[in-house]
Amino acid sequence: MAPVRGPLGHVELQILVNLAAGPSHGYELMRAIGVSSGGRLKAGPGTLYVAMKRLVDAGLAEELSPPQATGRQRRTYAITSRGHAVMREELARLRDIVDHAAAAGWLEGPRGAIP
Amino acid sequence: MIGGPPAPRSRRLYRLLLGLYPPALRDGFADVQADAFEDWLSEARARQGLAGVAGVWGQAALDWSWSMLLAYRDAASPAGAAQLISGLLLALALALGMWSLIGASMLGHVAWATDFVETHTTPNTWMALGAPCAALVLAAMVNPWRSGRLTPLLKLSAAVCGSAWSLAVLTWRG
Repeated sequence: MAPVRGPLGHVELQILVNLAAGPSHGYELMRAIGVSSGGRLKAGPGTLYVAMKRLVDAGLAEELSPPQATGRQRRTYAITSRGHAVMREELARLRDIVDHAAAAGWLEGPRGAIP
Repeated sequence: MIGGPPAPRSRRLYRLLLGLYPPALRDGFADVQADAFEDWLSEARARQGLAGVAGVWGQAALDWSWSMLLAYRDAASPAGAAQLISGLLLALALALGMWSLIGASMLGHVAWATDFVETHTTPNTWMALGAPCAALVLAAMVNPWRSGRLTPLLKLSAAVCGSAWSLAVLTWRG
């Protein structure tokens, strides 16, 4: 199992957060990432599956249904228990950064506008 | 692409492009990635028609180019340095070729593209740019090219030639 190299990337974290809500397949994840990031992050199929491969290699996500021999291969992925733990660690790390920024007054004003 | 069943044709073309990913990604994820692309394209076509299809292909081309770099970086190892370099150069040549083909296919539909071509270059330039790069795209799909001991050298040679040709024609401007 490949180790997780440093903090998770935005796409990897978004995938884990969306998989934590339930198993999903590629296009569903593409749409969910767009929605959950408020449209700021758009992951195409290439970016999505490069990130998914990293997560699967690291044991943070897993394939649920094996590919079918014929026809459309609708492969579904789920988050693993290790994935849950890493996701929570990463979210806590981000929350610390946000808390620190808020304490310094950087989050005052309308959302998206740094004073 | 437009007229007739577009998704299977587009899917086949996209699936061919995925053949240029590193084997570890290509073998495990190319089919499901093509599924996601097909879903994306179908939804865009249903919502926006031709503009949606063009938009998806444009975004997919950028996404493919970027993800190719990421995938080869992930697959890189000291022993695979030659493959990494040849892969990056090949990606550059193919990206140039693909953009020239997309641009050429849109000439009749997009006013600014026609203006751009009339101002900056000639159709012959586009042909000269597109033809060898399209040939390179097709040649890269041939199985013997992806296997065997000469693979890195062949890829590197083709990529260097393709990139040099594309850049030379772009600079020349007919």
